Parts: sequence; C-alpha cells; structure tokens
Amino acid sequence: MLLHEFNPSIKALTVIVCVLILSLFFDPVTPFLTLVVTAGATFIFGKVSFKRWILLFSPFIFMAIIYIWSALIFSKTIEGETILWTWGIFTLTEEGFQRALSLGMRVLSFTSLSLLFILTTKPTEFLLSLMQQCRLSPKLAYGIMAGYRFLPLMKDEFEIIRSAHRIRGIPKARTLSEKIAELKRYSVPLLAGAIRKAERTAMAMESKGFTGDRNRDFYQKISVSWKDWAYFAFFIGAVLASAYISWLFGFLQLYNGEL
Amino acid sequence: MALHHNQPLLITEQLSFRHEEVKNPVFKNVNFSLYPGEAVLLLGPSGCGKSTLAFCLNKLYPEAVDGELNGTISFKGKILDEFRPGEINQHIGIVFQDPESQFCMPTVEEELAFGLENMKTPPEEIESKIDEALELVHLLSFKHALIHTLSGGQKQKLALACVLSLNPDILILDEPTANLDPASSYELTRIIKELKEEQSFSLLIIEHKLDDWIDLTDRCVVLNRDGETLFNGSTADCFNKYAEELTLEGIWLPSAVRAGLLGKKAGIYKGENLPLTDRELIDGFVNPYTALQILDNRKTIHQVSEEPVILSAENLSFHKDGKDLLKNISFSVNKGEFVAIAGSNGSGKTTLSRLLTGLYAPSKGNILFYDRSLSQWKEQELRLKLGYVFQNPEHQFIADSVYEEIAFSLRIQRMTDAEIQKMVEDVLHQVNLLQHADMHPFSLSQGQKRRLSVASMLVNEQDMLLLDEPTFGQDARTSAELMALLETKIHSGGSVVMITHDMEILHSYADKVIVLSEGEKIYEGLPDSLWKEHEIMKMASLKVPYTEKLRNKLDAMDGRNKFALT
Repeated sequence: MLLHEFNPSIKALTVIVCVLILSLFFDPVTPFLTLVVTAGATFIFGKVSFKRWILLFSPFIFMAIIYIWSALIFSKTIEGETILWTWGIFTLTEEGFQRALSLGMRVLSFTSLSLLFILTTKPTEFLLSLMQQCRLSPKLAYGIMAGYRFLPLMKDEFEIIRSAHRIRGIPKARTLSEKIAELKRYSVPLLAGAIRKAERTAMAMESKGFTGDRNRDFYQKISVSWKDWAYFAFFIGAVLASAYISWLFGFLQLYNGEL
Repeated sequence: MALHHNQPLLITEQLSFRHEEVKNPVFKNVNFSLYPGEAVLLLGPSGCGKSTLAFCLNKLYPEAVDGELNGTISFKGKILDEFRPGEINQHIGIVFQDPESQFCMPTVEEELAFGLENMKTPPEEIESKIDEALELVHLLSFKHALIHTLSGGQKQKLALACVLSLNPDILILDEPTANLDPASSYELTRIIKELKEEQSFSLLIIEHKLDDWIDLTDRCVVLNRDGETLFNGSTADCFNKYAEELTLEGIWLPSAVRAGLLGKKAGIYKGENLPLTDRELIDGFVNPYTALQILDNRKTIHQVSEEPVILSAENLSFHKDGKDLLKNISFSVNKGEFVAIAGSNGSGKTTLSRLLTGLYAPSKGNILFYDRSLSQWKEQELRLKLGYVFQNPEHQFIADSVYEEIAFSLRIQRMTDAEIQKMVEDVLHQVNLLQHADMHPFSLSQGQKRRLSVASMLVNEQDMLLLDEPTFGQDARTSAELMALLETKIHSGGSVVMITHDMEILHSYADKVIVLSEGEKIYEGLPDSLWKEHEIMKMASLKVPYTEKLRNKLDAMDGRNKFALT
C-alpha cells in the first residue's frame, strides 16, 4: 500500500484539514508529534528517500530557526513569567521560549504535511482528480497542465535570451544593480516568447478538438473509495492523538492570539 | 491520378484572409478542392500564407487571431461554420511545424488519450486506439515515455499518431520536417507514404524541401508572394510548365527538376518534359556522366588552406547534469575557411557552437581564438571579432526596431549617432532591409528575420561567424541570399563555421566538414571523401547530396547493365 495510490483530492483535503486543526493549538509538542508521524509515513509508506526529503525540508528548518530566534529576542515579557536569563534589554522567559518553539514546530509540521502530499502525488493525477472529483473546469486544468510542461522550457528560453545579449557584447552581470537591469531587459522577450508558445500550444489543443467542454469522459479514471477516507481519518486521527498526548503531558494549549 | 469523378471532400471558394489592422490580405481568392484519397502539395514562398490557409481549413483561424475570413469553406458539402466547436477537428487533423509546442500532456499515452477524450471516444476503446496509432508510427515502445525526453523526429511521429488516432478524412502537414535531420525527415515521409497506401485519408502537404514528398503527391497548388493562386493542377504539369516561375517566386524545386532545368539550359538535357524522378533525369541525358560534372554545384575548390589558424579547439569536453554532451573534440578553423558541422539531432552540434563562441565554458580542454584562450578575452572585444547567428532568428532580437537591432552593438561601443547611422544604413542596404528600418523585428517575414539576424552580426565586420542551422525552414530565395552574404564574408577574408543539415550547402560551400555523433567527432575532412564513408553517414543520419546520389544510381545502373551483358 503506497501513499501514491490514494486519491489526490482527498490527500489535498487531508493536508488542509490537518493544518486547520493544528492551528487551533499552540504548544511545541502537538506539531512535533505530527511531524514525526507524517515524516515517518512519507519514508515508510511513500518510499521517499530521506535525502530528497531533507533537501526540500532543510530551507524550512532554516526558516523555523529564524522564527524561533526572532521570537526569542523580540518577545514581549508578560508579568509573572519565569525569567531564565537577562542581558541588557533582552529577557528570556520560559514561556517565551515555549512560544518560540511552538512557532518553529508549527512551521515544520505544516511543511512535512505539504511534502507528504507533494512527494507522493503526480501533478497530472492531481489535476485529473480535481476535474473528476471537484468539477474543476477542464479549460483551467488542461491549461495548467500545458503550462506545467513549459516550466523546463522557460529555463532554456532564459538561457537563450541571455546568450543573445552576450553575443552583442553585453558583459555578464556581476553586481546586484547590473543583475536587476539585466532581469529587466530579459523580461520582455521572455514574456513575449512565452505568449507565442502558449498561443501555439492553444492552437494545437484546439486542433485536437479540445473545446473545454465540462462533459468529458476520462480515459484515466481517478476514483474515491473507502480506502481514501480511511487515509483521511488516519491523518486526522494522528493529529488529534498528538494533541491528546500533549495534553496528557500537560503541554497542550489552545491558540490564544499569542502572536 | 486524381480521382476527380468523386465528390470533393473539401472546397474553398474565393477564400481570403486578412489580419486585423493590416491592409493587404495574407491570401486572396483561393479556390481549391481536395478529393478523397488525394495528396496535394501546397507550395509558395515564405510568408505567402500557406500555414494561414491551413489553419483556416480546420477552423483554427480566424478564431485564434484577430482577422477576417471571406469566402466559404465547405467540408462534405457542409459549410465549416455549421460544425459544432471541435467537431471539424475530428475530420481534419493537422501536424504542426514546431515539435516543442504541440503537446499539452507529460506522457505519450496521456497526450493521445487527450485527443480521443475530446472526441468523446468511449474510455474503454481508448487504449486499443492508442496502441493502434502508436503502432502505425512505430512508437509503441514509447507509450509510457515522457514527451520531453523524445527526439525531434519522435515528437513529430507522435504528433502524427495523435492525429491518426482520430481517424481523420484529411491530414494537413504544416512543414512537419522543418526541424528534423535528413534521416529523421526521410523516415517521417516514408511512414506517411506507407500510411497513405494503407489508409484512405487525403493529404495536404506544406513543405519547402520537396524531394522526399514528390513521389506521393498527385497535385500541386501554388500560391505566389501576394497570396494568389499561381497554379493548381497535376504535379507533373506544375514543374514542367512553371519551373521558371516557381524559381522566380523563390520556391524550392525538387532536385530532379532543378537538375533537369539546368541541363536544359546547358543544352544537354534532351527529355521532352522536365524530369520528376531521378530515373527520368538520367534517361534524359545523352551522356549522364558529363552531365553530372555540369550539375555539380560546388563553388569552392577544396585545397589545404595555408592561411593562419584563427580558432582552434583542443580536447574539448562538456558535461551538464551528469551527461557527457561532448567528448574530447579537437579541430581548427583557418582564416577564410568555410567549416561545416553536421550530425543528427541531439549529437551536440549546438552545444559545440555555444562552446566555440564562449557562451558555455568547456568542462575540459581549451579554445584558442587568435592564440588567446576564449576565457581571457574581454566580452566586448571578443564579440567584435566573433559573431554568432542563432538557429531561430527570433531568439536573437533584443531591440524594438530593425534599425535599433543593428545599432545595438554599435551603441555599446559608444559610437556617435552619425557614425552609427551610416553603418546601420550600409548594412541594411546590403541585406535589402533598408525600407523596413522602422518595423518591429518580429513583424518581418521569415526570410527577412533571417537576413536581419545575420546582418546584426555583419555590422562589426567580425572575423569569424558561427551560424546554427541558418537555412532551416527558409525558402529557396532566402537560402540563396543568405549563402551569398556568407560568400562575400569569405571573400573578404572572414571565416564561417556553420551547423547545417543541408547536404547541398555542405557539398557546395564547405572546405571542411566535421561530423558529430553522440558528442564525439567521428569525421573531419573534405566533404567529397565523407560521401564515401557509408558507416559514418549512417551513424550521423546524413544523406548524400543530389549529384552524389545520382552518381551512385548511375553506377548501380551501369553495374546492372554490365551484369546483363555478360
């Protein structure tokens, strides 16, 4: 049983509901436990390699550290909190530390939930599922799909435009202001090229009889079964269980406008 | 051959199309019909509205652009407007020129399913139809492949499969081979020929290079530069009676016709009509071997150059994303030399040209330009001596007007306005674009764009010019004009390095040929000796030039005659 096999729309819904539930609580333990469960599920049932996961996850660790750091330094001290350490105008309290940690963990748990979805879902299947389960308009869905195909091409196009400028004798941009000027020069031809490509693809789609008609029978059927709802229930359950354990150990706190 | 006793499938009456805000129509008063099972070649110079006409025929135009279509098009007796949206596309399919922008799904299977779903094919029948269509174009083993990993030739075959899966009555091919190497393009035409024999669809073919198509067409329709019908009749009549007019319009003639025409002018071709096939051509010559000498269109006498070396590549290797794109390539370019680089699509030709111009840095090895490593040159200085012309002229344009496009590099050098004006006007005059100086580069015709892209590289009188397939998709006139520009360059002591699929150019102009295959240099030497290296020719998907092909045919025929005598 691989995570890839579940219905993409339900998976997306699961992530959204889990994030909403997690937002209700504001303590470090609940999101931490959720993080452990989702990351574990990603490795075990998603067959995602740790290397790939950490590569995508690490920028968020960095972000979380900055959050914690700034929350620590700029935290307001409320009367009656346990002071751990003071230095000049900076005061570190136990409660402030917990708040900062909660914030960092929250970021990381949201990230791991999103990664679970992104790393185990094919974009095509997600769009097909959105059309089949959520009545997303085919015009929009196939448009996104065609655009998705263009992404790698845009990189090539950028490379080409850069070359075109270089062969005219414009040296490589080195300073920041040069780089900004360069970006400005590139944006118009890049956009023009993208529009031309899009027009051609739109014509090719039309030539294959695409009208955007909502009434469409799909070759690749994406269905919803009890298993998908079991998936939904499992992850919601995991978040609630995390909150319960946190409560057992006396950490659980409801979010109360701390930020 | 044409089956005129049947009812025509498609009829156009007094068809004209005009883009909004443009005074002159793209084409006007086109009357033409297409009969079941017929193959028609639609000819005309670049920019005469062939593609526009094709888009109108399956209702893509005028909906996709702001334009006005006058006259009527009817399919099986029903006017096109009466068809529901998307309905006509099942009957009239089209394969476009650009392999990159005609798909919207990631994999081969999904792309085919997309078209079939559009046509409301019951889902349970789709799989078998996909397999069937892929089988027809020999792509079944790529069913689950990602489209962007396919080669250009495979993409065009896939585009063909997509259309065929819908079982159309009419198949329109809009320069499907323009971006392919000679062997892939030949393969595509053979597949279409096979299909044509098995299936009953009608074909409307738009192409510049006709050799591979001529044996499967029944009829030709020719549009002239103003988008008016010049000729509509049998293929034989078209080239017999109108060969001269076609040449004047800048339309490529099939090689046999062109050779016949040359022969006739030289008084050595005795056939009554101009030949359409090699056999007819050979039969028409009194002495085919002497004729070959006259037909041989070589312009340069190949000899070992004694001029100094201006660029030398030493053990070049290049890898990107863990792939070895080029392996250990060495060669040199002398002053005044014309070097051609050939090889199949994806063999590393463009990568090599980027290295030679210093746009990419080699992973290993060194490039010396005037005895100085490319990396030691200052960007501006280097560009004054080394020019690069892109494969797609549009990629190269960076200014808002033709004038500014040429003036751009002069402005970087901080010249005075008066100097700039004089130089720009000189160059524009040379490439015959002076009257278009104020236009936007993108609004020029295909041929004009090409000339502008080369002109922007002539203005600094660079010592060396690198060109990446500059003749692709160009009509005969533009090609000739371009080669004339390059010849002037060579005569004034410049060197030219050109990537090309065009074996005729290679044969006529190149002093030296470098052949690449999978990132390795597999040949360096004279073009004449290359034609004898059958292994290399095959590996690099090259085809011999026409005179060489004729010579081989003659030899084979002689051999057979001798065999018959003994």
